[in-house]
Amino acid sequence: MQTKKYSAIGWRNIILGLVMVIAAASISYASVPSVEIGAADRAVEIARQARDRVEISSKGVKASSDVLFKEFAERTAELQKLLDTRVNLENAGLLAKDDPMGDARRAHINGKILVEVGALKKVCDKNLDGLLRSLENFDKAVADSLVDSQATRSINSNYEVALDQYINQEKTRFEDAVEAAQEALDNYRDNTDASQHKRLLKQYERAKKRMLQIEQRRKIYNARIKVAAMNQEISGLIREKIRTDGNDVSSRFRAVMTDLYNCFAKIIPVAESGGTGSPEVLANLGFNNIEGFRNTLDIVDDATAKLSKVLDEMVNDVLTGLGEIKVIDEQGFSSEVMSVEEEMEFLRLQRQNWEG
Amino acid sequence: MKYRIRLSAIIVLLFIVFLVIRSQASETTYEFYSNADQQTLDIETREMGNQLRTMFNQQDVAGRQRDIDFAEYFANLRKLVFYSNKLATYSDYERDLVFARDNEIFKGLPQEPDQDDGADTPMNRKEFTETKYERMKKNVQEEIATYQDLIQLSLDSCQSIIANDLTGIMIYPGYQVRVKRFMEGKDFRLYTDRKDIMTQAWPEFVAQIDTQFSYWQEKPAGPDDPIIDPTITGAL
Repeated sequence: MQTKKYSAIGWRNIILGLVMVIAAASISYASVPSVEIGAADRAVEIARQARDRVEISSKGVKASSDVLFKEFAERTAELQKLLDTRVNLENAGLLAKDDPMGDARRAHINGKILVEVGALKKVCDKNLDGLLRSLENFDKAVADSLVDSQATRSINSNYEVALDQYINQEKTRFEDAVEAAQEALDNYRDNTDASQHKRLLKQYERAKKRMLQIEQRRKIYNARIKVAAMNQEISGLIREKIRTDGNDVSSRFRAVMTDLYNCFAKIIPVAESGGTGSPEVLANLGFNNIEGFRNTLDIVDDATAKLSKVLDEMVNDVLTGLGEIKVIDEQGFSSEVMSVEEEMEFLRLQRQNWEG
Repeated sequence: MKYRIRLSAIIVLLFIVFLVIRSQASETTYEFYSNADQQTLDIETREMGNQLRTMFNQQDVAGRQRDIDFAEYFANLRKLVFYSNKLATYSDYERDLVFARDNEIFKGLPQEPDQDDGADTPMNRKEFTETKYERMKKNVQEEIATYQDLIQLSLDSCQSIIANDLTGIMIYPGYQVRVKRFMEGKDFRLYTDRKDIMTQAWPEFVAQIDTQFSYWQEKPAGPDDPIIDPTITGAL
């Protein structure tokens, strides 16, 4: 084992090492054409804009539907109370058919329930135009975002191809550098002439610095590849979220409203009969309509929760993906003692890294 | 400690008060029906009957239903045009990509290798071109699949609404104006311009989309149509 110690290089070399690292970093960024970096950034930017556009537009839907469903919830609670009372009266035998008093009570509470449904309809009527308008804008935002986010797939993919190409080119340079370093180190080890020793050591140092610069660039390329992969994942995620969830949210909202108005339409003949002033008609109502109405309310709830869930999931998924970025372990050129064996090991490991 | 006990006691007390008020409130309606006389109930029922007739007006409800149906239809009709315009770009993608590959005209292509390091350059122009070709082909195929899905979804929706036009959206003049205005816009113009190339690759889509728009176009005069405007003859 041959170990040689040299006088302390000290702070000067540490600073020099740092300067080299910074220089290597700036060289590596400069080596990747700005067009390609811009392209990758553009993909992320497009995906973000697409997501933001959907989110902003969904706020309009949320605002208009919140007004609708808030009033809806209040009316539903009133309706529920009346339905419960009706059940209690029925159980107590106070709504008995063929009993004039039972018929009168039945007609009255049925009418009361329908008036409450009418109040519900009023809420829907008041808010429907606004909701349809915001859904139209939301649809447009989703379609635009979907198309824009499609482009991110190609942009990211092109960026990855370009980075692969750079890293392969760097590998060739690295092979040259490691060969030169190896040769310089061999010369240094084999030469016993003290005057030559210093020159050979400097020669090795230069070769090693070149190698470290290339290694530094490799780390940055690799980091960018990782970021590109993550960007691909994020933009892909946004793309799919918009496609699968965003695309049918408006349709679902409209379907819920259609169901609601179908329920209201069912009440029209009943209302017309009730409007003749005949309590008997209302007394004989079955209230299957109200059961159907309850189902619709469930759908309304689901639809509102769905939009909020879409956005929550989208944000959470993106944040989870961010955890995959790892900080590059910096290794500067700062050792004060040089061991040939250690350096040989260093060269071997470096080569192994590349091949691995 | 004392403060906590006092606070808990207050909360329990408030809860009991809340339950009592709540049960009283529900009992009020129940008791109203238990105690109300028949005449009062009949009068109120008639009043409510009159209210209901105003609340549930056939024309009003039908109009709202029609608005919702048209909103759904129109949203999908616009999507058909919008996505078709994007899909048309890829109508001849295989030939375009093969051309780009064979002639090495992809963006970001490495420069011709020089004598010194050309032999060792691991990814030469050919490899780069091939890799880029394969990736672009895959990306384009995925984009096409996406647009095809979206167009099919919108077509299904439009066709279903028209086939079961329960609310009569096609005969309502206000909607005809909106579709007509859309057909005069730039998206539809682009669709018309690209229709030929779109037809080469996806003729069945074009046929179905055109059918949807044909419903909204003014019908040309047929041989059986009266020569004189019926409104004029009616006036005479």
